[in-house]
Amino acid sequence: MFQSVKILGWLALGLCALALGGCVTSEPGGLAPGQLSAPEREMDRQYLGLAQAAGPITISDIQAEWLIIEVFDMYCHRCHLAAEEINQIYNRIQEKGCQNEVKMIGLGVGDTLMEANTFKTKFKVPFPALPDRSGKVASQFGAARPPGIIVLKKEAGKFKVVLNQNWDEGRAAFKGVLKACSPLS
Amino acid sequence: MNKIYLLCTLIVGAGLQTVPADLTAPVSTNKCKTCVNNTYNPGRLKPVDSKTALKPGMKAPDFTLPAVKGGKVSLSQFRGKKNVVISFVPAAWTPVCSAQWPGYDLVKDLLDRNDAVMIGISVDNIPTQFAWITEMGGISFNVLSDFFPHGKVASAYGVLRGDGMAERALFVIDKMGIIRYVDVHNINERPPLEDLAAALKELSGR
Repeated sequence: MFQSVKILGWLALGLCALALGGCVTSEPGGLAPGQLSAPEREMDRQYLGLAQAAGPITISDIQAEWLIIEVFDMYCHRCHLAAEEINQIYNRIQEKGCQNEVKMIGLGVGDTLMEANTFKTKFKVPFPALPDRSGKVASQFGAARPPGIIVLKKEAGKFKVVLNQNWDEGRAAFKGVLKACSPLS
Repeated sequence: MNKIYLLCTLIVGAGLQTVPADLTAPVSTNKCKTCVNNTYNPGRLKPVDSKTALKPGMKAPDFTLPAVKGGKVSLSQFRGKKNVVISFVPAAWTPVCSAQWPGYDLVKDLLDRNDAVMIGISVDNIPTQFAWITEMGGISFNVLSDFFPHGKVASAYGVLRGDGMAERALFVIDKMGIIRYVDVHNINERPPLEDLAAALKELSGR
């Protein structure tokens, strides 16, 4: 009897350790490092070419040749200032007919779902804005502090970093890119 | 395909440099490697370094403090008029604090819906708070200075740390001056907006 209790005790301890280990390594909301929750809105999932209606996704799941990521934080004043300009990048892509090849998302670094949604609503962000609570999704691409812009290009099914720039430092250059986009059409 | 290739060429041709992924280094710089210019990163601190005796249901200690906007603000002036959210932050010119109050400014409608006002308090003096708030593009709610006697209000709320800074703490106080929600948060992290929203919702019964 005593032996059974002892075994059960060790089993319980083991389960606790497993659970605690899970807490340490997993993201908030039960996501694994590098994962995001799928966008809530159907139109956002369609835009990104995501098959699943819910559950975790990774950046690699996004169907695009190019992916431009706005790295933001709902609480960051400079992100508020950058939001409208970055929205214009999306509009430019639509105008130039590159929307099937070039997609955009926002990553709310350190933000919860409500915070990312608030940023999207307040600044009328026209593309999906997803929370990256731990910042690990953005940091896998070497993200600078928000506000930032990351440009990824898909090669052999994986996105490679082409550009990673703090928006304050790269604004002028990126605007140059947008102007240069004119001859594309 | 060609036009996308051209886009790539243009982006690379713009001469942009990749920024190193150094998100945690204690950096004080006038280049914007942090969200707000000129912030000082103290590194990771002891999550909580005080113990408040205040709990929901208790009367909130009244106070009167000078405001950055001018004049003085007392908690009691909102009695019977507005619910009050007090946001203590540890110090001006630090990264997490600099990325907290601009967000509360953004959700003013959430406060309005729940008939609440936000009050920000730090232990910095008024000139320091003024310069910091200006750097953050301005804060619409009242920011009060708990500088002298140093941290008197933070101490009354049980959130003055051993190093003289305040905790990162939120208190929600109803129109009768009763504390309804307390979150003395890990100083290194921001309280989730969901928690504050839920506390306000409960307060207004909606």
